[in-house]
Amino acid sequence: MLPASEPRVELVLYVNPTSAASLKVRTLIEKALHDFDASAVVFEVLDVSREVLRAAEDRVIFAPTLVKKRPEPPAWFVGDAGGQMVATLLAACGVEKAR
Amino acid sequence: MTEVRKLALGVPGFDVISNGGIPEGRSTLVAGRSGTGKTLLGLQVASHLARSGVNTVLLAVEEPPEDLITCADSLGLDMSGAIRAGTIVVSDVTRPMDGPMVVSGEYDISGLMHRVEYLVKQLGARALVLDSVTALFSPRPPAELLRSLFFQLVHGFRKMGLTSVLLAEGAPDSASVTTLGVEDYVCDMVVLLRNVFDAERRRRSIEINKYRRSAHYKGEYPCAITSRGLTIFPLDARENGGERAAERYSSGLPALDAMISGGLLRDSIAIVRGPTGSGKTLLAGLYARAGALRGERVSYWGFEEPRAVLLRNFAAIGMPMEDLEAKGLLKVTCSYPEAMGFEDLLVQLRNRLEDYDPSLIVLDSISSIEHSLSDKAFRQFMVGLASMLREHRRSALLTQTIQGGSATEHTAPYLSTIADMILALDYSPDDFDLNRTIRVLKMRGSAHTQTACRLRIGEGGLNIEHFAVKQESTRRRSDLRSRQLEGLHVLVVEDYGDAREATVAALLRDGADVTAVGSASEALEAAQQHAFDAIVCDLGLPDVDGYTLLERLRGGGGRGADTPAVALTGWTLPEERQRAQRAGFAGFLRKPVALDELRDMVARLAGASAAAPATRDGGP
Repeated sequence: MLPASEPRVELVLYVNPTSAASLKVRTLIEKALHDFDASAVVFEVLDVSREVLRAAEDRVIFAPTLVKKRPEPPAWFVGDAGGQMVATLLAACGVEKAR
Repeated sequence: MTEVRKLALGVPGFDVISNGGIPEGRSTLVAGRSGTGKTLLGLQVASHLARSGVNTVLLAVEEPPEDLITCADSLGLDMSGAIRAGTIVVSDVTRPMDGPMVVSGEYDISGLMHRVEYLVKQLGARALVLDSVTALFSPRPPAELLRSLFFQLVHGFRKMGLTSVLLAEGAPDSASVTTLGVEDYVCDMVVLLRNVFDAERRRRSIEINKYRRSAHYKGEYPCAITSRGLTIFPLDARENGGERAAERYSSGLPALDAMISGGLLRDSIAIVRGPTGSGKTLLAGLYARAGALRGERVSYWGFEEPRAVLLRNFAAIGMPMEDLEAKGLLKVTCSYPEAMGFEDLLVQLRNRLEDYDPSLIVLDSISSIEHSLSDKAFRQFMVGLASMLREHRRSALLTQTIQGGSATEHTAPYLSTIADMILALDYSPDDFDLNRTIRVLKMRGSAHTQTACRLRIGEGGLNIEHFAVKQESTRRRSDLRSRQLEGLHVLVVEDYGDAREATVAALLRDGADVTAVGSASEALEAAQQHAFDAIVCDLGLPDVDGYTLLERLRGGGGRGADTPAVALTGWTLPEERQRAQRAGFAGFLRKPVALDELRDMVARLAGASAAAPATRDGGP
């Protein structure tokens, strides 16, 4: 169990800023996050053209890719899968809905 | 049409069939089913390019980088060294295995392309190998997206100025080149690797299916996977540049040299063709021995007998080879072609050419290879062999056994084309003797004797006599001695088929009835059934030796107990001769025997025996 003070979920979305698919998924995820307790989630958006080493470290080759880094095990959602599944994912991780 | 700039790959044979290598700055697709050698080829390409000063990025999608590096190092490609030297980088693009991956909807490969861009900049890379496209796009995206992704990939590499080699899983049918079915449209060059079942054997081949703006060799070419990686055999008689002087060397048989205006020509291929027992192996041995005695390195490949038997037979006729081997002037290798594919044999021959650097090569016989292959595969073997010999500028003597017919008759046209010289050995029967003959059927670039000459087997190997000169005296002797064995029934015991046939043929020609067997047990059985006038017996037999056989015949008290016997053997030590006498052999002849000597011996023993009828019919 993570301490109550630390966010339960860490998400990183790798995007190609010039791609409509990336922008669409980013919008979907950000919209979904509004419905959940923001303090329980760390959400970061990274540009694959600028964060090459972090993308390589996170084993990302496609954009958009949402990486769930915590809680373990990690998971990768390529394409619009991240946008579609983020709400389910957060609920499964025990993140409470925002009041 | 502008000329395509190419990068040589250094994969043996590939740069020949591709007329210089892969297109520089463009993408080459290498497609093949599992086990065809795609990854090996990719590793060879990456290592060779890096060694040639073309720094290379290797994208490991299907296997982890450490597995690829280990594999490359085991092939002697020293990829670890190249990585340390900063000429290769292997980037891990394998799918994460520590958690699930869900793929849906639209996406692009910008993550990969930015990584490649970064690596190219860091390394100063000009080439890239991707292993494999199939694994990269797995699960397979919808067709439209897949086409778009592959287009991004190829054009991204091209924009970066990379020469890329993309490996892909080949399609199971001929409807498309790969399982993904899109890659070949975008790539400038498409190479197909195959590993098919043909005549109960796996046969590997490579084909350049497409090469934009470049001529290339069409069709399939055999290839093999060796401990050094993939090796391809271009099936053309490719000449190694440079003028050829008309240098001659001795065949080992001075009279044969005289028949061909002073000897064989360097860098030529000679085929010695003839039926079983015509002296082909002896001629091959003479050729090899003469070369080694001149101080040349000779590689002798025997496909018909075990090494010990071959060397023993050569020694028995006064052609010992052991000393020459010990001095490093001769390497005798005996194997059975059935145990390997022809590509593997070509690889062994090529390795021998490169490692041992012989100037003369003997293959005895190509017929053994022919029997273990389909017609197509044998043709490929011969053309590949000739190509290799020409490429390395080596001289070779190949023997070929003719089954039935005459050695002067026409055989497969490609064999005649390959050979610079064809010698036909044959039997030339007359009323008296089994005359062996030799005739030069063809010799490129040289005058040669048109008529057949007589070939004799004797001490030191072979001797040639001019037939026309000897014919008269032979005929005279023939008149006197023909049918000298008429009315005699002779048992021939010999396990070696060629020797048995030759002995039987000689005795039949002299009028004898002959029963021939290949073992002592068969001989004992035959002796129970027939009353023989003489026994001609080899000493080295597969079940019990000839001494024991004769002791059993003598001790059996039945038919054969008193039949005169002559030992015909390659065992020539004095103690062996003495032991043969003790066992009851009345005569002792050394192989190879002159036929008139054998006839005279049989006639004499059977005649002496006939003078004592009580013993000749066997048993009291």
